[in-house]
Amino acid sequence: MNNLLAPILPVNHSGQSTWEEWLDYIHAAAQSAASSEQTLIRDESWKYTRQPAFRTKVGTFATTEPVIRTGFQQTDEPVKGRQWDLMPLSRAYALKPDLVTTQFGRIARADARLMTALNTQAFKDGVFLYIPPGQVIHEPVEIVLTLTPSRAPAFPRVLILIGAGSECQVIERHIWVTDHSDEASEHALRVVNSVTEIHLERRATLTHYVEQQGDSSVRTVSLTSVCLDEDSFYRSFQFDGLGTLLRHEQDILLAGTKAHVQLETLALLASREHRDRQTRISHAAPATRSEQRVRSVVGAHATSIYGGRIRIQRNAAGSDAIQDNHHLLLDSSSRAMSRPELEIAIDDVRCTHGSRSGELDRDALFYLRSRGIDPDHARHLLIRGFTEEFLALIPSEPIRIGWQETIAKTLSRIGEP
Amino acid sequence: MNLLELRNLHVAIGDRMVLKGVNLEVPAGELHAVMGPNGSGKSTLVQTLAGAEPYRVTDGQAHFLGSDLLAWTPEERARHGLFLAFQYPVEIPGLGNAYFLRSSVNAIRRARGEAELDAADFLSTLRSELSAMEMKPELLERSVNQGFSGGEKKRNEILQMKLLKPCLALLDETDSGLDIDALKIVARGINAMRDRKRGFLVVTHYQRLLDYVEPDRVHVLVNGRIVQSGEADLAQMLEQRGYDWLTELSQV
Ligand SMILES: Nc1ncnc2c1ncn2[C@@H]1O[C@H](COP(=O)(O)OP(=O)(O)OP(=O)(O)O)[C@@H](O)[C@H]1O
Ligand SMILES: [Mg+2]
Repeated sequence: MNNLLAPILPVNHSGQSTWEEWLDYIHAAAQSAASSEQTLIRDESWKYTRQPAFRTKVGTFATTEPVIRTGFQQTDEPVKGRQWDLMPLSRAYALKPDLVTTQFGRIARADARLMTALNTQAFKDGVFLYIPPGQVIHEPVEIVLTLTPSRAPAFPRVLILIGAGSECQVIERHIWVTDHSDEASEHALRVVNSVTEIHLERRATLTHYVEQQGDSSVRTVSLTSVCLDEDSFYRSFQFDGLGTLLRHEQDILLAGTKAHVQLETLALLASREHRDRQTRISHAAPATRSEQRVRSVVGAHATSIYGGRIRIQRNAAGSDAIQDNHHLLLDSSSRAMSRPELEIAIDDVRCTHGSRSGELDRDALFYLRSRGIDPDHARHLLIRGFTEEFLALIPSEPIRIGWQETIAKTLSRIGEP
Repeated sequence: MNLLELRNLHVAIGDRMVLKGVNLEVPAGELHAVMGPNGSGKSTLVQTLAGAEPYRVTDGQAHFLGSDLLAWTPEERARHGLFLAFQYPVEIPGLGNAYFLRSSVNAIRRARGEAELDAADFLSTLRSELSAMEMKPELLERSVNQGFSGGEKKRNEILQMKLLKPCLALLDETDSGLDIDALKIVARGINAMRDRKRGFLVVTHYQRLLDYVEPDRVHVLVNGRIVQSGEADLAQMLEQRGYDWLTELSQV
């Protein structure tokens, strides 16, 4: 097994302690990771986004957990006859201690990144989804994370394990809105630092829909960390609606031969918003494949940042990586930055990347106007066309239609200066 | 009445003068052909009339239905009944062709004070026009002009003309790149729309379109000027003799 995947924490704890004891143990381990030299090494990927201010308060703040709402009525008790589990992490610890203690923190490592360490040392509970091997789940599993009425930082945590040969769809909604956005002064800001870790065993397939909505009083940092075993397929569709500052990181480890990842994202930035997306993809096995398309619509005075790192390791012969990034700038004051980073250790691979940022196509605008369409509507149609290219890829019709409506509403606000 | 009247029209792109005094009249009910060598300014002429950005009128006038055409924005020109079939139709990723066509038809209906068509009404009109143009129904589902073959793009232009029912249609090399069958279909589309009120200005390089669509007048544009105008037989003569004998006429 790749030593990147070694558990950071000794696992012999299982069954011998209460959830609270285990949590204390994890918090302490993460705290030492957070303060270690290695974790604190200046992370270049933060160059363009100011880290939310909770760094200085490590270990001293109270936390409030997000409400976990799911598509199912009861998440506390396992549903009779159901072959899989969706429940709070604390409950899973009691029922499946081996799974929780061996898998938690293995993929999203507290010693790899400061933000992950901060989440790991402060989370109070999380969501646990387990699909045992050989299950095909047709109905999508929905996990909704929302904020409780409080101003304390929130540290949502999600652990998803998909057994060998299983298939499912997960909808993860992060609704980071507060009821005090009107008084969004610097001290009233709410900080959310969320971590989702996902393990796909051999031949597993996960279609992961992630929707993020924020408001002007919330600063969000989130990480989705995924490890893929042999022949597994992870595809995600991420939609960032409005939010003053959202930074989303995706870490993908293609650990098994022929593992395949597809990341499709669309971000909509209203005026003055700041959005930062970082993807890191490691090809660590032969014939692995990654494709990612990152799109953003950037309103006036807004800033869209994309950093995409692709590492193709020496043992990843025959791998294939595609990266594409397109920022659509709606105004001359809209800003965009792209930083592709390719580290390729061998020859026998294909790696392509492209990055575009620019305003609406003038020829297309004229074509529409020459058909009697007024310029505002023409612009709207072109922007919508840009978002439709993302939506058209979405296999689930209910999700596609839901996002289509949200996008239509959001776009009408983006046009405002 | 003249649908279109151009007087001494001068057009520049950047600092470069491309049209150097074009005079032209298209009366209602007539179809005029414009021919001329590559780069002589044919597309510049029709793009300028449609209001395209890079083309700057430096002198002269253009009247459409008696009004100052140049004072109108591109969308106003379209709403007053001017239509341009592009030499190079533009691809618009993500915008469904059917949705685009309906947006366009309704924008023009609204401007004319007519009721907008709902999706169902529009679709039935669209389907019959589509089969008249012998176009695959899937071309409605795709993004505008994206993944269309050259011929499919040109048919899509004529489809738009038929849906928008303009007073004056400017067709820029709509016949180029069409196979024989497609050429006949396009010609049929044009002929079906000819009547006493509507006018056409058809830019073409080839006599073969004019075999199916008989012009009332043929104009030859060389180096930014109309150097010769005549009846339909002028096109046949050009086909045989080329443009060389006319080029001298344009050197002033
Ligand atoms: N957008 C533009 N920018 C710069 N130059 C242009 C532009 N459009 C046209 N031109 C130049 O103006 C001249 C006339 O071009 P135009 O496209 O009008 O010719 P045309 O008669 O339509 O030729 P063709 O038969 O090849 O279609 C050419 O020299 C061309 O290079
Ligand atoms: Mg031309």
